Amino acid sequence: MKKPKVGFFEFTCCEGCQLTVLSLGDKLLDLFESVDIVNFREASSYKGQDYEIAFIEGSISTSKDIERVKEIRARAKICVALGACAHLGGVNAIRNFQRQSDVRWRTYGDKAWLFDSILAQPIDAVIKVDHVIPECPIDKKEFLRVTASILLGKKPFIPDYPVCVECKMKGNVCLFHKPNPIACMGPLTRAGCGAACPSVGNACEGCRGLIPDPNLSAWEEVLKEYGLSIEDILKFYHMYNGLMGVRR
Amino acid sequence: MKNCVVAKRELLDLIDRRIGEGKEVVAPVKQENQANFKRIKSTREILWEGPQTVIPPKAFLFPQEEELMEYEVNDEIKVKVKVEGKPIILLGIHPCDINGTALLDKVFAENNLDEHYLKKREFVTIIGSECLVPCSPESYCYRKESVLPLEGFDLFLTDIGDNFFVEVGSKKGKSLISEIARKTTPSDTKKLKKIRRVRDNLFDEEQRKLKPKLEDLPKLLRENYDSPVWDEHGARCFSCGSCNMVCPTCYCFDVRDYMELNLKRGTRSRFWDGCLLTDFTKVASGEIFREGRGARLRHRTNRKDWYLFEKWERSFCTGCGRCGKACLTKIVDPLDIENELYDRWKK
Repeated sequence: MKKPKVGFFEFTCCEGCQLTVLSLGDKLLDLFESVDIVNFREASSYKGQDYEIAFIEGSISTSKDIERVKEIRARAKICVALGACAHLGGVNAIRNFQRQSDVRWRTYGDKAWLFDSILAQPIDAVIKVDHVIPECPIDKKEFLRVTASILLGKKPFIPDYPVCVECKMKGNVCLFHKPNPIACMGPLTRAGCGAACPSVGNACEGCRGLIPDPNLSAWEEVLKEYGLSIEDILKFYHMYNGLMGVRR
Repeated sequence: MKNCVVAKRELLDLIDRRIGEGKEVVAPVKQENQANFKRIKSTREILWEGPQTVIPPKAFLFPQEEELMEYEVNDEIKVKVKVEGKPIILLGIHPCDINGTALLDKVFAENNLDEHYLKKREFVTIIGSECLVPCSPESYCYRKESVLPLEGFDLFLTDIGDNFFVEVGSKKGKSLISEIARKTTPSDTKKLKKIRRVRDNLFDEEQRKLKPKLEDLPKLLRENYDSPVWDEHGARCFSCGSCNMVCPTCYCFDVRDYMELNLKRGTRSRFWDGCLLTDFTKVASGEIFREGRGARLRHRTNRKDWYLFEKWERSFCTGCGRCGKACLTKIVDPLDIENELYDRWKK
């Protein structure tokens, strides 16, 4: 079998997902054995423009990004959104809910006019995305499994059920039921992380995106029962899922 | 098999010695404000009376994630089926969970024998312990005739003071305590009866009532298939499957294949699944057969107290109360639903 050529690309992000790929350990050798990596800034200065599979990290946040991501789409047969920024707009989209002139001033000061920043968007707002590897940052095991599925031509398995499933499987005491309850977005958020945050006592903040049919009203009711305000609830949504209403 | 009596201290010492010899003993231990089954280093860790463990003991027979086979694809395909078990003593198991496990025993041994389950089961020893006070405000085992186990245990202990009254359920159980077991005396039996009478009264008083008769539940559910209660409760359902995960009798699973990146080796595993999850009935075309939250909630309740109740002549809800505790919006508890159906039906 001919090895498919693969490129990794980054837009607005911390490149933590690509670093996760680099920290695969001995599994990284399996990756090298299965594909030819022609473009991977975090690992190599070589910049090949001939690739079939593009792993795209980061959100679209300048008009130049739009052109560049479209070029990648035109070259690649398969585009994979890598991580929460590419998938959901990520934490970058928090600024979409603030006044843009304030945000620009705060970030760039009097040089703001030099930067053509636009509202942060997930890549599927601009191009067709074939597969998504969610989470902030991505999960190593899931990256390997999804990549293997793509190579096999099989639809990758990404759970459509919420984090509560994996949290219960772990035998965790529900964060809402602890002596000092913690509000958690687990009931709305797509599983696959193994309930990483609730398992160490932190609230799920929804970095894997929402399940296809989240019961938002039930969750908001629960949070109000625990004494949280509308503002608190919006903060939860805006962390990773502010764009859920405008996403396809 | 004959009942017997053992001195509490002697039994616990015996088990501690087994632990010292490297035997895997699993028991409920405290975890924050709840509990969980853990491998113990000493019987002092055991939490004999509630609260209920988050996950039922089914996880030791039917794990959350279980590799069924591994395969290698080269010029030829090699498959290795994994049927494995290891000796574990499950200690301090409550009657609701013994009954739940006994139901799983039936289900996994029906028609197609589930070798993976049965092999693990073969190696597991269940030592139950009788609950003398309700373990949690959510439990209602007394209403589901589940305060005592019918079958499915090797030993069943009741605290009668300095001694345990021991019901022996198997040869395996009998041989475990043969060196310390004593014959029961009429006074032991009298103590046991008295303790159980007090317990019955206490549970009857403290546990929530089931308004319909237990044996009428299949009929109640059959006749209320179209009740608005389902969608009213369903409207607040997250479809999070927490109720399924924590249930001692939910046994549905999903099977997934994972190929390694080298595309040569792969595994087939099963994972707990749940009928409350949206994609439980999703088929390859993308169609979902049980689309409404209310319809899924109805399905679970009907499984527990109608379909499987009629099939196996025993309710598949043992009243452990875990789902009612786990459900954040308090919509899933079968007893609550059944009482509500009953109230409206009677009007």
